[in-house]
Amino acid sequence: MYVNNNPVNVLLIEDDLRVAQLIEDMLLAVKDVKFQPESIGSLGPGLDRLKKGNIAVVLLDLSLPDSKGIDTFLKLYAQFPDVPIVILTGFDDEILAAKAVRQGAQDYLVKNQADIMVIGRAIRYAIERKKGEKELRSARNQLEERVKERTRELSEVNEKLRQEVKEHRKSQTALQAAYSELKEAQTHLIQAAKMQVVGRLASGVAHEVKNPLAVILQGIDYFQDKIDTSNENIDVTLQCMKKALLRADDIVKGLLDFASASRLELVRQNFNLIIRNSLLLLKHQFDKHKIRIIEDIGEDSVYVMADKNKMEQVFINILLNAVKAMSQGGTLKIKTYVDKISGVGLAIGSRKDDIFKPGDYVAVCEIEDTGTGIAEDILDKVFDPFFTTTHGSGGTGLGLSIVKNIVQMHKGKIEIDNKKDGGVKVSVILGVVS
Amino acid sequence: MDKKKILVIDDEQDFGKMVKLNLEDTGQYTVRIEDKGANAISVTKEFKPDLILLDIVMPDVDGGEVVHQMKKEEELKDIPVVFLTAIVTEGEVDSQRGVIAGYPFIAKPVSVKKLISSIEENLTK
Ligand SMILES: Nc1ncnc2c1ncn2[C@@H]1O[C@H](COP(=O)(O)OP(=O)(O)OP(=O)(O)O)[C@@H](O)[C@H]1O
Ligand SMILES: [Mg+2]
Repeated sequence: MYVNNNPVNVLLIEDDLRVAQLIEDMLLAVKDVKFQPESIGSLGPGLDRLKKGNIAVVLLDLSLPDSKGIDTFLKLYAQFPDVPIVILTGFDDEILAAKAVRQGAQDYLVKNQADIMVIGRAIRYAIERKKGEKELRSARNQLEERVKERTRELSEVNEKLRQEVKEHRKSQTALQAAYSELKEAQTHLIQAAKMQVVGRLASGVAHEVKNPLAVILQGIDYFQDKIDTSNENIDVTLQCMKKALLRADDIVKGLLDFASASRLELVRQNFNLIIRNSLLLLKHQFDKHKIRIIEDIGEDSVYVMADKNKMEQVFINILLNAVKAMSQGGTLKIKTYVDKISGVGLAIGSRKDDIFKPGDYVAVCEIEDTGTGIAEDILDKVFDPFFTTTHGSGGTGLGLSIVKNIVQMHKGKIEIDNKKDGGVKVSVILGVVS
Repeated sequence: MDKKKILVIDDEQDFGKMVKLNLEDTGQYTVRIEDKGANAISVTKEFKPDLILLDIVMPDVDGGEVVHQMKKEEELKDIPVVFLTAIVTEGEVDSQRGVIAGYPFIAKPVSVKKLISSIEENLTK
């Protein structure tokens, strides 16, 4: 309980001097606590006194010359929230006093009923309660502070975690990119090795195969002239033999073309002209299969370093594939443009690679058909030598492997993909020279 | 009109035989075949062909060497030579307009029809 030998300073703000005197007397009469009362008759000077400090408790009359009613309490409380306040009130004003208590006053005393016991106890309780209140408040503040701190810590940890997750994700994508780059490089290497072997084989095989083929062809021609070809069976047999022979020759020819890609004559050429020439060479094929051509080839000259014949061979192969895929007719779109390589790979949507650097200018030719498209599971095989789905109709499967070989020898790039709305799009990209 | 004399120099003997059969069958040509590059000069001197069909890749003396030697011989240097070989493709022959190193060229395998038209073309030159 409240036990203290130090005097307890009580400020009495009361304009009724008699009441003030009476209360002072009562306070001084209290035995176990040493009260030291002082009286002030109005609120203003009372506040001034409080500013000087060292007041343990205020006894406050609500009805003062310079302030009336609950305002009196509120003004004082606003300025000195830590000083316990006990309201002094008359009989008639108990409701008001109770209101003040609800708003933060410690207690109220009805002036005429107050006696020594009551007033002493009321004051002591007021001080105690205020102290408790204060402790509670500071405890609560401390708690709030700790919660805040903890929250701050948590959100820091959270943020760190988020950052880590982000880093992790970033390194994961980087890893993934590196992996697919590696894989691409590997495929590239395997492809290049395959090409080399095929290339070396080609000239040898060509010679060894073409000679016997030459003998057979001469023999067939001889028979066709000598034997009674009015016998239909004999005629058909000879024709089949000849067809088979020419097919074998086609394969060898393809192999040779393939091998000869390593003997390029690179000269400054107009890219658009090469493409126009290739289109011209196939005009009757397009007409025959009722293929509509939409040409969007720039009028300007775009120069690339190229072997004209080999590059024409590239486009002819690509165009013939498109014709084959649209044997019942369709639309062939052919478009050329110059593009600048941006930082994130080619603008035409490919991954970044080491063929072109950001800032390089490239000539792009896009050839789109409305044909059968390519089944997804064979999309990565179409550049393989001898891979074909048109075996029955005479395909050797060398077309695109030759195309790729030639394009690579030009330090260019070729991409083939299905279009969303059906058909295939092939892009050939070469570096531009001035 | 006299039959034209064609000399075929090719190490693939069967090819020579078949060409001989087909050409002589037309009644227009007399054909002699030789399968060794090394014998080319002597046989040419003896046979005096109107045109030579010459293989390029032969194991002993190749076609290029044969032509080189003939150029040095006054009596042989003007005989037309048509190279006949398996190492170039028809496409390459076409893109060079049938001429490589100044000589006409035929790619194997070749049909009789094409062979004859090529021979005729080069005989008249
Ligand atoms: N525009 C296309 N539309 C549909 N499939 C295509 C297209 N281009 C290529 N392909 C597919 O790729 C395969 C390989 O093409 P490639 O040109 O290498 O060989 P090919 O056309 O079959 O034979 P060749 O070129 O000797 O005639 C084709 O058989 C076909 O399945
Ligand atoms: Mg093809």
